[in-house]
This record gives sequence, C-alpha cells and structure tokens, in this order.
Amino acid sequence: MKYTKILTALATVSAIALSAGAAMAEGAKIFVIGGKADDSFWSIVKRGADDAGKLVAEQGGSVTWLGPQNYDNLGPDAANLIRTAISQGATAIVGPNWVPEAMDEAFKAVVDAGIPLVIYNAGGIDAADRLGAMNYVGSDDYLAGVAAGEYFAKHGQTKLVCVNTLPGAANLEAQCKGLNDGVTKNGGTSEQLPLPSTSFGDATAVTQAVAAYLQQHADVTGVYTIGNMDAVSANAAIAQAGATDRVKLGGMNMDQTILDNIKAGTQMFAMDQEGYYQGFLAVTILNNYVNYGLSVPTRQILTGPGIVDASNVDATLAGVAAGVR
Amino acid sequence: MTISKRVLRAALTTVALTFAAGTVMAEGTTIAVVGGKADDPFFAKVKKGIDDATLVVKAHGGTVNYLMLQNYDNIGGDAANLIRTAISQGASVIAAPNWVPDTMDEAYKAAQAAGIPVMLYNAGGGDKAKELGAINYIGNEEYPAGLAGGEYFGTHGQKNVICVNTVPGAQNLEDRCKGISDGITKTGGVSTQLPLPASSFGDPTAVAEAIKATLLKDPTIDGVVTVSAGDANSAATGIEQAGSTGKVALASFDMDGAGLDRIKAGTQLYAIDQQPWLQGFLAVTMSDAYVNYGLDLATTPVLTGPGIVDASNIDATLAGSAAGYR
Repeated sequence: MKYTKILTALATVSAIALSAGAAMAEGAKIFVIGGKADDSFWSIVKRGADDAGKLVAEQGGSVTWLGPQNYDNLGPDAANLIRTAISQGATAIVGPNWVPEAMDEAFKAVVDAGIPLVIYNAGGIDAADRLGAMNYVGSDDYLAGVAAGEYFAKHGQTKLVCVNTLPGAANLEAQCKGLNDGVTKNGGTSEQLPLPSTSFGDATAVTQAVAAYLQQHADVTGVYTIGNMDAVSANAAIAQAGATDRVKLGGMNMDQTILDNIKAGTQMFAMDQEGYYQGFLAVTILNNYVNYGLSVPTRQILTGPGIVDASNVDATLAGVAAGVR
Repeated sequence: MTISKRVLRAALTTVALTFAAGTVMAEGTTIAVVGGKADDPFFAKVKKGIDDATLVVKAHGGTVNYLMLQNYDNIGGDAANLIRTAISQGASVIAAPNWVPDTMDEAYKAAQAAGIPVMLYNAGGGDKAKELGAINYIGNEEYPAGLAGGEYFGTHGQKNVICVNTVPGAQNLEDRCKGISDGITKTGGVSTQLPLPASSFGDPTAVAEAIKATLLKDPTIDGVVTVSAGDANSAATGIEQAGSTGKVALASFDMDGAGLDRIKAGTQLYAIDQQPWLQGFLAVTMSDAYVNYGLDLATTPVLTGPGIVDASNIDATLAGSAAGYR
C-alpha cells in the first residue's frame, strides 16, 4: 500500500517536470526603463531583468530594455522612453522616478492607459503611491543609514563620524541622519563631517581631512563614508592617523578595491543596494500580475542595504565575477 | 520498515535526477526544498513555482532538489527528517516551511551548524526567520491577511460581518478572524466571530444551516467571511437558503474553482489567496541569489499573501488557475 502510494507520487513529480517546458502562446510585453547598458551599476540591474526574463520568455512574453544614450538630459529623456514603451504596446512598465518634475506626467499616462506600473531604483514608496504604481522595488537612503548605525553599534563602535563629501545633497543627508538614528538607538552617538565642495573627488584632500579629524577626536571608533571613492580615501586616512586598531570603516557602495579591503580586514563592511534584485523582482512581479493576477502584498520591497562583510565577501566576489553585483 | 525507507531514499534520488537533467555545468549549487505532496492541490502550485525558478537556477549552474513529504501523518517529524536528508546530501542551501517549530527547529539549527543557510517559506513567519537566523521568510501571515480582508469589507460598504470559524481555537484561524475585525473597525464597522462546534467541521450541511440560522436571527449582518474555501461553498448555500443573496456579501480565505466561479458570477465579493506559486518561486530564486552571490533582500518577511481576488482580477486569476499557477 505504502509502496504504491510512493510510486504514484513519483509519477506525479515526473509529469510536472515534463510539463514545465510547455510555453504559453502569448505572454507579457514588459518594458523596462533603466540606465545605459554600459553603466556598471545598470548592467547589474539589467542582468536581473534578463534573469527574470527567462520565465517571461518561457511563457511566450518579452522583456525590452530602454535606456538613454547619455545622462545629459535624464528626466525628459527617460520620460520619452516611457512614452515609447506605451506606444510600442507594453502590457507592463517598470521605471525609476529619477526626476519627478520631468517624469511624473509620463508615469501618469501609463496608469491612465491601464498599464500596470512598478517604480524601481529611485522614488520610493511615496512615488509609487503618488503615481498609482503597484509597488516600489529599491533602496532607501535613510534606512540604509539606520542599518549602518545599528551594524556599527552591534560590533562595538558607538562613536561615529559620517564623512559627507556633498553636504546638502538630500540623499546623503538622509544617510547621515539614518546613521545617527541607528547608532543612537543603541546608545551611541555620531556627528557629520561636512567637507567643502572643493574636496569632492579629490582623494588626497578627503584623506587629509579625515585623518585630521581622527587625530582631533580620539574617542571616535567608526567612520562611515557615503560613496566608494570616499571609503578608499578614509581607509588611507585611518592608516595615516595611526588608528587602524581603534577605528573601523564602513560605507555605502562597493567596488573591487573595497571588497579586497573587506577580505583583507581593513574595511569592516560596505552596503550595497543590490541592483540585481531591482531588475529581477520588478519584472517578476509584473509578469505574474499580467499573466495570472498574482501580486506581492509587501509594498516597498527594499533590495538594500545588503551588508557585505567578512561573512559573505566570498559570495559577493563571486557575484561580481558573474556580473550580478 | 526497511523497505519503505529504501523506497523513500530511491524516491528522493529520482526526484534529484529529474531536476538535474539538462544541467550543463558539472559544478554548482544544490538547492534543497522541503515541501508538501505534489498531488496536494496547494503544494502543486508551490511546486510549479519551484519548477519555474529552476530556469533561473540552471542558468546559474545549479540544481534544485525537491524533498517531498510522502503523506501528512507526521508532518513535523517527517519534514525535520527531510531537512536532515538534505544536510547529508550536501545541499548548499535548504528552503523549508516551519510547520511544527517544536519538532523542526532543531533540524534547521543542524543545517546551520553544518554551514548550510536556511530559508523559511509557507509557514513560520518573519519573527521565526529572525529567531532562527534564516535568510528570509516568504509566505503568508494570517493576521495581515485578515486585516486586508476587513479593510476590503469596510471600503465596500459592509458594516456588520461574521467570521465563520469552523475550527475555533486554532491559532491561525483566530488570527484571521481578529484581522477581519480590526480591519473593518477602521471604517466604523464590526465583525464578530461565529465559532462552530467541532462536530460540524467537514460537514457542509451543518455549516450551511448554522450560517442560515445566524443570518435569519440578525438581519443587520451584511457580510460573511469563511476561514476556508470549502466553508465558503457552505456559506453560499446558507446565504441562499436564508434568502439573503444580494444582501449579504460573501468572502473567503483561500479559494477553489467554485469560489472563483462565484466571483466571476458576482455572488462572491472576494477571496484572500496566499499565492503559493510565489512562495515556491521566490523561496528558490532568493536562496539561489543568496548562496551564489551573497544577495540578501533588506525587506523581511516577503509576504506572498494576502492576494485579493475580486471582480477586477478574476479573469487573470482564472487564467492562472487553468495554467496551474493559482
């Protein structure tokens, strides 16, 4: 009796495996508005969209990537790409709300045409709500800062400095504020070190400023940077200040140098917004909605911050090699 | 005993081979997924999601190994054993529902002790995933599902709704009814639970009679929600027998063909679906991304339900039902 039941179960499994290749006659026509395909970040997002596209294609649908030629006139160019997607008969559209003033009208045209919309990468859930989009898939600068502050505190660093090389930029201020809130919740403190705009992009100037700060503030044990270039500068500064034992480094974004530093132990962590998931989940959500009415009720799917530290740096390096990170 | 064990092992091996076929790369990750029976209508949809996710896994050079319960007589113990089987087979990552924490938690911990990350799906919830240190939880949570249902009633004009509970005391069903009540309260409505005696469980006539009697006793009731698809069929009969069709809105947790037909015909307002296909698809693709590339979503849990099915999306849902997705 038991024997027979198991055989029946097996037969069912085989049947399912065989039918998995059956394709539908017609599937979703998903248009994805994104950055330039040769942009190192956007090629990762596109990789996610392409991976999700494997199932879309299996079901008889298609994923079309529309990116601008350059970033000189981003908002209006992206708005035109949205209009192109509508006119080409998209049954679902994904786009970043980079420049609301220039793009909101085009997004509203998508919703008015009854085409399901997901906002990703930029805009947040507020943009999704304002525009009538199904969801937002992306990161949030403030919450990334909070996660960094909590990470520092959990690892023993409770006196932090947020090195801000573009003071006044809303997304960077949000990161520094988040860092402060995250560490404060855990009994620590942080302050912002705003650098003059003349030092932006000048690695030597940033290094000198951070080194001087660390020498003047002997109680600071954690340095946070808002970009990958600054992290490398801060790394040098910590060494120059003779503070490698006292001060740990963490920051937003990553590149090969930063991952090597994490592997070598000279940077504690980096934060990644996981662009792959932005492309993968936005396309997946829309494809299943168009075909089968499936939706993900969790609204605002945060793809980041993904924290990269010694525990997962090897898998992350494998991801970089594979083009998904 | 010996025979059945051997057969079980053979069965598992066969499943593994089925999925490995077509894989080009010699080396890659093995994603073990513990799940329900393939002839269980709910788990057939989860399995469809797992199979569809295998497209992505294969492209990354890996394989998926579905470890299936043979029956539901001893779910916790059997599922824990399947996790242990996955460990001994050298899985790179294990996705499994946390059906019976008392029996299963130890197996998840054994996996982690062996350096194998775990993903919770279908049962367990976000808090449990955090407690166990799992990658994430992909699935439904009962209270938010109820809350969405209660809010739906509220925004569609219902003021006095009964939540028919055919297994009073079961925590997940109590959570559903509490969610309905809290949700409808937001718009000034009320919901009371109608707990039915254990003797009526699985007895459609008794359930229909009880609902009919309740509706006749209180004509201000304008909505009925049931905790299962089967009970919704009984409730439809009860509403009809009370002469309340068109006056009392019907809704249900979960859905079947009859429920979808009623939504299409306009005699059921909505159904709350936990969207099992998404559970299988996301649990596997996210396990794959984590173990291969260190990708880990900041959002946890990822809720696959409630997915509300109503007149606005019934056609796509019926298409999904025909294709094995819903």
